[in-house]
Amino acid sequence: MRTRMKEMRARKDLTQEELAKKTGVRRETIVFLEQGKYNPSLELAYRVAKVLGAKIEEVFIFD
Amino acid sequence: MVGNLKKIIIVLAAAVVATAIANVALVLALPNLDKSVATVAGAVVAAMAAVFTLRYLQRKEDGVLQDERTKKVHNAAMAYSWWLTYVLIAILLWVNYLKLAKVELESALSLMFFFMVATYTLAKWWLSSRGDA
Repeated sequence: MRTRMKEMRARKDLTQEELAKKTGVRRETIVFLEQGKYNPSLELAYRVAKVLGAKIEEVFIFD
Repeated sequence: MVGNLKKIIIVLAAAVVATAIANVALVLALPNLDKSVATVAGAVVAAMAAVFTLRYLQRKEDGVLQDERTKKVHNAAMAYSWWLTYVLIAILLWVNYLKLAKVELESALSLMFFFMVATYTLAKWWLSSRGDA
């Protein structure tokens, strides 16, 4: 799975810490998500997409 | 630095208060209790109070102490630890059955006690650094 989280987060001018707080997870989880090392639950994927103002499929891309 | 010092003082104070309460309760409930048992019970209560207080302070500071990823890692680490301990018990049973070594109850229990903690910690570290994707 690829992700566009880093790029979208930068566009929203959010730090990893801020995104973590807004989505209710630890900062390390955001790091793992951005590196594509962790597959989020549907709920977390939805929360991340909502904060980034995009659709889930725009943020997380399944090849 | 001052924040850390304050945190250490609060954690130590919680441990001391919890130990005092536990020891008073033990003395009142069981007046003939062995001193060594009371000491071990006190140490366990102190450690538990310190861990709970530290976790409470961390949660207050960082907002989130556990999330779905850390819970997943914790559960997987527990499962790995459980299976490895199961294998260890099987090995101990065979060692005892084949009389390769004399397995005392106390040493077997002590071995399992530390083995479970060690395997859980190792599995947690390994799974945390690996990711699941």
